[in-house]
Amino acid sequence: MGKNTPIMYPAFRWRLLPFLLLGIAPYAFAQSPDIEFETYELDNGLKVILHQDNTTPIVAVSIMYEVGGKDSFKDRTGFAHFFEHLLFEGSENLERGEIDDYVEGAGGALNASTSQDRTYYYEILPSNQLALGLWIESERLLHAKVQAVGVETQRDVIKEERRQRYDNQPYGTLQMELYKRGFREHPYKDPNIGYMEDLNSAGEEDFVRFYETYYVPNNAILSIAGDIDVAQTKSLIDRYFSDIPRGAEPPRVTVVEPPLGGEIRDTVYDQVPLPALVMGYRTVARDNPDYYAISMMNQVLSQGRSSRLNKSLVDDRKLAVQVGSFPSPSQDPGLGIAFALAPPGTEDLRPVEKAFEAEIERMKTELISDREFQKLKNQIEVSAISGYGSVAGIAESLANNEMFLGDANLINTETDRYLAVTKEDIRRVARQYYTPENRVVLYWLPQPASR
Amino acid sequence: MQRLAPLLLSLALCVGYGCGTTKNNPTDSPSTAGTDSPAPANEPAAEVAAEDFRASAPEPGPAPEIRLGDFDEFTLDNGLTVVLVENHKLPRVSYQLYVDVPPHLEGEYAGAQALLGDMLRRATSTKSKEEIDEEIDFIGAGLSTSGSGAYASTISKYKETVLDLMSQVVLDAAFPEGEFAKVKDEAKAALAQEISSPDAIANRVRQAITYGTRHPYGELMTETTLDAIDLDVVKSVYDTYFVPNRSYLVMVGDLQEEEARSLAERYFGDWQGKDVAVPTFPTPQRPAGVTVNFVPRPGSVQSNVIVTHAIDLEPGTKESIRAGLLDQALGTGFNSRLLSNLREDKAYTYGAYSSISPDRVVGNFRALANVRNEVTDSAITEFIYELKRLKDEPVTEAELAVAKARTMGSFGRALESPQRIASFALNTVRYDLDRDFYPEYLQVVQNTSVNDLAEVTEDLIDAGRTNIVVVGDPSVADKIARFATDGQVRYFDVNGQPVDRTDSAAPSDLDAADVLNGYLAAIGGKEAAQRVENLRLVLEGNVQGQVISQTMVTTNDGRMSSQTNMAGMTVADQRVNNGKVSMLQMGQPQQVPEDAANAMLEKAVVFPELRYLELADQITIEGTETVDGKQAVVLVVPSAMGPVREYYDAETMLKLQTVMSQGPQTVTQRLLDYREVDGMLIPHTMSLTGMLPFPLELKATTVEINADLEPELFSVE
Repeated sequence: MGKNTPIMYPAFRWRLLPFLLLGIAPYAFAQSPDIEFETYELDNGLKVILHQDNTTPIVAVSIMYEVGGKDSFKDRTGFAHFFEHLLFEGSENLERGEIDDYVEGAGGALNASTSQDRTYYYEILPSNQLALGLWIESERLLHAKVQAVGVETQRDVIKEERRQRYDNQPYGTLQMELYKRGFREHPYKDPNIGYMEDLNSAGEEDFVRFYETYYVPNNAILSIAGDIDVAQTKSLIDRYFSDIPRGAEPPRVTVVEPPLGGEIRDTVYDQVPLPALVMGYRTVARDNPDYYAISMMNQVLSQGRSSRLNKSLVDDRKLAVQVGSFPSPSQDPGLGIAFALAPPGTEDLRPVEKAFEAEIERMKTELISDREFQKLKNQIEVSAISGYGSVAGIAESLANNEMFLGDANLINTETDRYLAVTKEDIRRVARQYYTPENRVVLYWLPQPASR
Repeated sequence: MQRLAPLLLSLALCVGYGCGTTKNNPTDSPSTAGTDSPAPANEPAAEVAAEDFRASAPEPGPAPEIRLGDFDEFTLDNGLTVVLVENHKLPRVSYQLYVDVPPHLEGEYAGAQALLGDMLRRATSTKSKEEIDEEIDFIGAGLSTSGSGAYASTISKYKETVLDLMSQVVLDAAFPEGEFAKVKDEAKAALAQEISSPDAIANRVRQAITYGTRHPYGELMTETTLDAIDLDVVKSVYDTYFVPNRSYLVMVGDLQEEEARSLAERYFGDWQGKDVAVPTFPTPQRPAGVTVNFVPRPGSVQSNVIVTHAIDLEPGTKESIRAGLLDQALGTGFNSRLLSNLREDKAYTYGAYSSISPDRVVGNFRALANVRNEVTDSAITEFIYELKRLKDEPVTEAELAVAKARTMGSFGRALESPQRIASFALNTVRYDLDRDFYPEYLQVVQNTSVNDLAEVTEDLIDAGRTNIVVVGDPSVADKIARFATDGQVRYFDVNGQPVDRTDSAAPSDLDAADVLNGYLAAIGGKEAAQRVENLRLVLEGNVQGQVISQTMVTTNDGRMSSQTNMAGMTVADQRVNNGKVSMLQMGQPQQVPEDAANAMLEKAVVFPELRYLELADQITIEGTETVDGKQAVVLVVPSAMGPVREYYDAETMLKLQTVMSQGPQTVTQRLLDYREVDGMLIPHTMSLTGMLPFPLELKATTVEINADLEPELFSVE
């Protein structure tokens, strides 16, 4: 929303180089063996997840709607994110700006984020203010109010957001440039934040239609974690949410992107100092069983300084100063992304590409070593133990698992799926998905010093 | 120092406000932490009928008690202070070794401390980098080092292994030359990245301007200082400053005190202490008026604006706590003054914020936003307005109530994280604060009045004495001069060094004809150039391992013929004769669009500069820029394909490069290696970037003037 809305997947900043790492699933590898929770559904279809942890007197109240950038309609790219901004404007009982006033006045924090697949709102409150969070989310779902002044303001704010986060950032448009080329029919081809001209032309009737279509209880998961009393929480939820009417089942994106049908190569010029090799491989949806093997293959390639790409491209051959590779955690099949940032003065990226290609080739021809396999398992074990430091993180993971994998309890059991992956699986997915005809290759080059 | 300074500042920040608050003393009032709602205007009356419970905000329950977890502290014989924050919720531990390197000038070696940080993990007397990496990754642990210590985290079962490794990389560091070369290369790459990011540039220049480049907080690592640093410099930073008696080992997580003591003793007990000199510096002062400081970043689509000045604000004081509340009201909350004005009202920006950072040496005030180019000056007007308004319309009771609630709420949330509790503990020990500083913090927050805030505003903020730093497109600079007390924009480069703009303004004593005549004189004289009837060039380059060659002939009577060959085939053939053009690709005739035909006609000359002279009144001098370290005068020449920028060396007057845009592409042609052929200087190397996905370098294998030419060469169908 608000002031710092992450769009798409969370972006982390590397310690050494300010290069955005994309596509890390917030919930991959992060299971804790004993996160207890309760889940149920109201008559109107609203799913509820409750996790009690009384260690710290705070509570995270969150609601996740199954609507994201990919659900924008024709010529209205970026609409889900635009709409997320507007849902901070107010409701029948909340004047413009009052959502912020109430939450911050209660000593709480709030924000929201929109990905291509979902929109997520949350408040983290002192635990005696649980009802406030529920009231605000029920207002947002039942009768949000969008006024012209808010629309015009947020339109400009989002345009600044676009400039600040993408257009004016070195490598900021990396994901957009890859998906634009990697997809022709599926809406993942369009930027989640939207094209400038679409942001300009969105109008009131669009908002009404969007709200009525997607902001219905049967399209949402209310996920609450923290210092709660379960019985009292249930009765508050009943009070605020049970009489909100069920809506029609929202339409879903059914477009199945045909195979890429051959390698796509292109060049992008940007205000960057270092040339970069950027690649996107068409892979699978998050709920596809192959996701786990693909994810682990990427881990062997680039997690940690002893990983293959780091050792070979950075340490041994000095062809790159930074490398990365990630699976795509999206609801529909997306792009597994890999990149290598070349050292200053690099004129030719072809040797970098060759070296990268050689590592992929090795994945396809040899099984990973016993030691690498054990390392993977150790890393998975660590993530399972240490992934959940905050109630806000737990609330979001539970909702994610429920929405995209159909089972909130994967927060406790997904580790097993990773541990079931064999060396042969890893080799198989490399062969199956990481092929030249299945990828987009971009040479990301410094803009010549013109203007 | 640049990696150190932010660390110091962020630690200081915690003491001052934000993360520091509450923990109610259990004997004190069961506290209203986070409960005083600011009661927005027009709130419906409290009598709530059952059916319209939705009409107003629900009443909060009784406020929960906020407990600040305690910590243990002990000191080893060598002076190392150990802080332990126990937390057994999850089976994991983390260790931070914080070496309190005193702020000192690095001068010509600015960045040495940062490089030391990168070198620490690169080898011990018994382990190579590769072995260290493998050991850490294999158990899924983390270990990073910096110029002020190290940080490690792991699961409980490896707690000793990891502390052992951390101790080895810090205490038994070997500094191999081979790794140093890599570290330097990586630092260069990181620096190149940094100075391409507008946010990072703004922050660098802010430091230089606020503190001056002769202060530890203001000096910056540059390419020059990086080059100057050798391994001995790095080792001497290590030998001088890495001592236990100025260091803190913070252990957090699944550990008992007994165990922590014995681990700390075992792995850090042998570290030898010694005295460290702590230099002092004149305290940087606020400017006498308003300065406007501009860093040109051509092509920026936003301006990064920072309004900033040095302040005198000690961490761990009542005043610093109040400054934190002032900062909340001005520019931290969603409905703070800056955000309400610049974002929610004017929509100039995605976010506008302030920060007030206490520091033992010197603190700073900042207000900042990234705004679109067109509103750069309007945004500055609003910043200044808001700073003045803090005095004209001081923070109100209602605003203060929100600021207090936010501060207390933020503290309550922070307690979820053992790392945050550890940072409170470290601050308490480092700054020698009263052990009750954090527990009593909430009281100070609660008791702060609007008058207290007015006082702190008076001390810290003066819209008439501050620095405005802007990074943006050069076109916005002129509009912001009016904010400066002296009416002048001061220009800086990305290293915070003043730039003399008289250099880069369009030279006033030159016109386009002078430049072109200068060029012609430099290559052998205008008349000699006019006498050249034709020029034949054979150029060779390499594309994806294949040799590409181009033979190109141009004449002074409007003819041109060019053949491009690859792998024994003529892939392109272009000709101009008598006003007609032809183009073949792979032997097939191509339809030539009109603008392309016109462009070819323009190319059918030996020296296009002779033609430029005839249209000199349509050519403008855009300014000067640096190309390969050389000052170049930039001419904008109209052409059939749009304007072309030509860069002429200001000293030798030789042409260095041409740049033109074709649709989304920008093609740059560099002209190098000028050599004399029959009295004329002709470039023998041409490098093209932007045309193909990789740069193409073409070298002349033949350059002939006034060659005998077969007429068929120019025959056009």
